[in-house]
Amino acid sequence: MSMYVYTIPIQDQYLIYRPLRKLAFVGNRALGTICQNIAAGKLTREQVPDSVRAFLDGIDFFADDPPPPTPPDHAFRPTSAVLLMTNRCNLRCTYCYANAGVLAPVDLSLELAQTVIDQVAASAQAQGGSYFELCFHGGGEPTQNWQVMQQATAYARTKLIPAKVVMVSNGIWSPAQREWVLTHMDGVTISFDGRPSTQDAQRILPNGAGSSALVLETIHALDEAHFDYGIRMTATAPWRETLPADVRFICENTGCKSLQVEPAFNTVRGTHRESSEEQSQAFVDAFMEAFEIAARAGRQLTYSGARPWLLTMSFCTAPYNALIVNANRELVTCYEIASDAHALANISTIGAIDAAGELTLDSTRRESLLNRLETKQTDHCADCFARYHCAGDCYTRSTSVIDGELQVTSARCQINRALTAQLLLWYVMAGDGVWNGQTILTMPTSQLSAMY
Amino acid sequence: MTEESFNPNQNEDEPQVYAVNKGAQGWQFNRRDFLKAAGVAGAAGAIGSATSPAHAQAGDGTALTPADPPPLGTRAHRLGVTSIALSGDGTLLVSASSDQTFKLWTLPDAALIRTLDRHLGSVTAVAISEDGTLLASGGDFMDRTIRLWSLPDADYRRTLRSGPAQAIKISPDGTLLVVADADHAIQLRSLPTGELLNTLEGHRDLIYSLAISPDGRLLASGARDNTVKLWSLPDGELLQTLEGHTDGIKAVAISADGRLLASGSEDATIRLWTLPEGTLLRTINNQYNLESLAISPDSSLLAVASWDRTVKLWSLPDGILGNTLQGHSDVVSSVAISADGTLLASGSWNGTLKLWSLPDGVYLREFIDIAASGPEFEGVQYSPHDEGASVITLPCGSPIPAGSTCICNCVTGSSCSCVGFSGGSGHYWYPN
Repeated sequence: MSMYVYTIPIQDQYLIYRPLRKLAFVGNRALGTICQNIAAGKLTREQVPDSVRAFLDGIDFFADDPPPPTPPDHAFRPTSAVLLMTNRCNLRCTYCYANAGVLAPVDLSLELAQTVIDQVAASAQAQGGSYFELCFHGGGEPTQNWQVMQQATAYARTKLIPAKVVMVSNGIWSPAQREWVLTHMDGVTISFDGRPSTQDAQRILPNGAGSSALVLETIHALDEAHFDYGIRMTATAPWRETLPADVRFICENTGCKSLQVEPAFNTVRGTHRESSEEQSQAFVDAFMEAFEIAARAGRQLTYSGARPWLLTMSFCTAPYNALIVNANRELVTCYEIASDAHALANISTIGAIDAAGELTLDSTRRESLLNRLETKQTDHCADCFARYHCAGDCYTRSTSVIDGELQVTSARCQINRALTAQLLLWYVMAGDGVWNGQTILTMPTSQLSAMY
Repeated sequence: MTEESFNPNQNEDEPQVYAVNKGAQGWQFNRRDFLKAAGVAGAAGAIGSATSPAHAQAGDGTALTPADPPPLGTRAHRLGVTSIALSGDGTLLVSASSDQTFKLWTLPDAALIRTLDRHLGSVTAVAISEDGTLLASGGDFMDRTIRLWSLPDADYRRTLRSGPAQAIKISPDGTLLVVADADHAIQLRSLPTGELLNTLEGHRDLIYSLAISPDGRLLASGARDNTVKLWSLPDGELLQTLEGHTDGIKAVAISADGRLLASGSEDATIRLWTLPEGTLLRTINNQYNLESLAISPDSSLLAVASWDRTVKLWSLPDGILGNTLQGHSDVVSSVAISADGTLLASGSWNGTLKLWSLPDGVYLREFIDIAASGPEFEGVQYSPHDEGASVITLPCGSPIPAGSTCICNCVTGSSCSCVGFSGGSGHYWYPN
C-alpha cells in the first residue's frame, strides 16, 4: 500500500491529510492513529472498527496514492520570453528589492529584445506549442522603457507562432500609455497595495507624494475595458491592521478577480529579510482574514507559498521554461535578478547575450542552480506535508546571504505550512467535512455585504 | 504546528471525526457521526451522487418548529440564499445557495426533503417547470453548468455546459429553458434536451434577472446596463428596450394576467410598465436597494426583497406600501409567492429562509437544516414537531445515546461548551 498520510495538529484535533490524493478531514488523535497505521501497513481495512471503516470507505481512503508529480525537465527549451526592461522607475517603493529608480539608468535595447523573442518563438514553435509568452517585467517600471516595449510587442506579433504579451507594472501610466496597453496587451499585473493610506505610504512617487489616485485611475480604466488583469500586493507589518482592510478596499473599489499578496519583512529598500515567528504568525492570521473577505467577494486571494490545489515539483517555471534577460544582457533564472547588485545574482546568472546577438548559456551554472533547488527539496522538504504545493518555495525569498554564505531560511516555511493548513481547513469546511480536491477559492459577490 | 508531535503508537480514546466551521473565535470542530460523515463525504467526493444523506435525514420527518421568536443561529443554508422557486401546486420549495447546494423543502411545513450538492460552485439560480416535473439549477463561474433534475424526487437528468448562469427561467409550456449567461447574453435552450436554440444579444452588461409572461410569448430581461429589454418568444426578437432606471436592474417580474411588468433597480426604485406596450405606469420609491421581486397571482401585491432586511409589500397597480415584513437579520436576497397566493418565502444573505402568510404578512416559520445552522444554535431549546422527538436535551455529563450525534462542540467528561446558553445547561443530541 502506498500512501502518504500527515496528521497536522490544529487546536486540540488533527487535520488528517493525504496531499497526493488531495484528501483532507479533521479527526481526533485516535482517528489519526488509525490512518497513520493504515498507511504504515500496520492495520488492514478489515481491522478498522466498523463505523470508522464505513467513513473511510465513503471517502475512498484505502485507495493508493497516485504517483507524485515528476521533477521538471532540465532541458533548456523556453516558451516564455521575460524582458527585465529597465532599472528606471517612477516610484520609490519602500520595500523595493531592486532599489529601482536611484541607480544609474540602464535600459534593455530593442535588438536584445528581438533576439530573445526570436529564440523563444522558435523554441515554442519547435515544441509544437500554440503560442509563446512575452512578459515585460521588473527591476524597474517596464513602461519607462516605453519605445522598446512598443516595438518589441509589435515585433513579437510578426512571429509565425502567436504571442501572448503581458506585463508587470506599477500602473503609473499616461493616458496614451493606458490606451496603448488596452489595445496591444493580453494581460497585465498591477502592483497595488490597497487603501490610499497603505499605497501612499509604501508606493511613493519620486517627489514624495502618494501614488494611489494615479494607480486607481489605471485600474478603473482596466475595469471599464473589461481587461484581463491581476493585482499584486505587497503587505508589510502590522498585517492584522492593514492587510484585511486593504483587500476589502480592493474588493470594493476595483473589479479585479485575482489578487496575490506577498509579505515584505524588510522595512528599507533592499534584500528580503527573514521574519520572526511572531511576524510570520501575524501575517498568516491577516492573510486568512483577508482571504475570507476576498472569497466572500468572489475574488481569489493567493500567496505563492500556499497552494494546496497544486501538485508540483517546481515552485516557479522561471528557472526552467523562461528565457529571462536583464538590461545588462545577462540570462538569469529569476525575475528579481535585474542586476549584479542582487545578493543572489552570482548563482542566478546563467549566461549572456553579446552585442552580436549570440546567446551563451552556461549549462554548468544552470545545472548547479537547478540541482541546488532540487537538493533543497530533498534535504529540507522531505517530511513536509506541503512539499508538493510550494515545491521548495521561491529560492530568492527563502535563501539569505548570511556572513557571505547562502543559507536556506525557515521563516517562509513556517508561513507556507501554516497557511497551507489553514487553507486546507477552509476547504474541509467548504467540502462539508471532507476536502476531496475541489478548488474552492471564492464565493459570489452576493455574499460581500454580509461581511460588513 | 508540526506533524512531528504526533505519535501513532500512543494509546487512544475512541476515534472521532469532526465537522469544521468558522466562528468568531476561529475554527470550531463539531463531532459528527462517522456514518453521516461518510455519506456526506461520499457525496461530495464523488460529485456524482445527488444526495447528502446527513442533510436528507435531517429533513426526513424531523420538521423542527422553533420556539417563538425563531432561535438565533438557525439557518436553511450555511451561506446566503441566492434563489427560490416554488412548485405550481404549492407543495415544494427549492432554495439555492452560495454553499454549493440547493435544497428541497415541503410546504407549508418547511421540512427538508433533500440536499443536492452536485454543483462545483455556488448555485446561483433555480427554476421549476409549471407542471412541477422539471427542475433546473444553475452554477456560478466556478461551476459553469446548468443541471436538470426531475421532480418530485430531484433525480439527476442532465448537465448543460452553459457557462455561469445569472438567472434561469422555464417557459410555461415547459419546452424552453431561458438562461442569462455571464457574457451579457440570453441563451434559449430546448427542453428536455438542453440543446442551444438561440443566443439573444443586446444587453451591454451583466443580466441580473429574467421573467416570462404567462402565455410564454414575452421575455423580459433586466441588466446592469440600466435597461429592461423585451423579447418575443420563442424566436428571440428584440421588441423594446425600457429605459429610465439610473442604475442596474436587479429584478423583473410579470404579473399573472400578463399586463404588468415590474422592474426593480439598484437605484432603489421599482418601475411599473404596462404590457405589451412598455409604457411607464408608475415609479415606486422603495427607499432601499433591492434584490428580488414577486407578484401575487391576483396581481394585487408586489413583494420586494430589500436591503433594509425587510420584505416590503406594495399594492398593485397603485404602488401603495402595505406591510413591511421584519425578521431577517441580513439583506433579503430572494422572494417567491405560491401559486395560490397564500404563502410567501424569503431568503437572506445569511442563509436563513422564512415563510410568511399572505396577504397579511404574518410570520409562519423558519426553514431549518441542523447541518447548516450556526454555533448559536447549540443549546437553544426546541420543541419537537411531533412524536419521536428530533432533538433530545439531556443533562451535562450524560452518555451519548446510541446512534446519536452531539450538536454541541463538547466531549463527554470534558467541560461542556454549551453551559450557559439560553436553554440552560445541557447536551443536545441529534439522533441518526
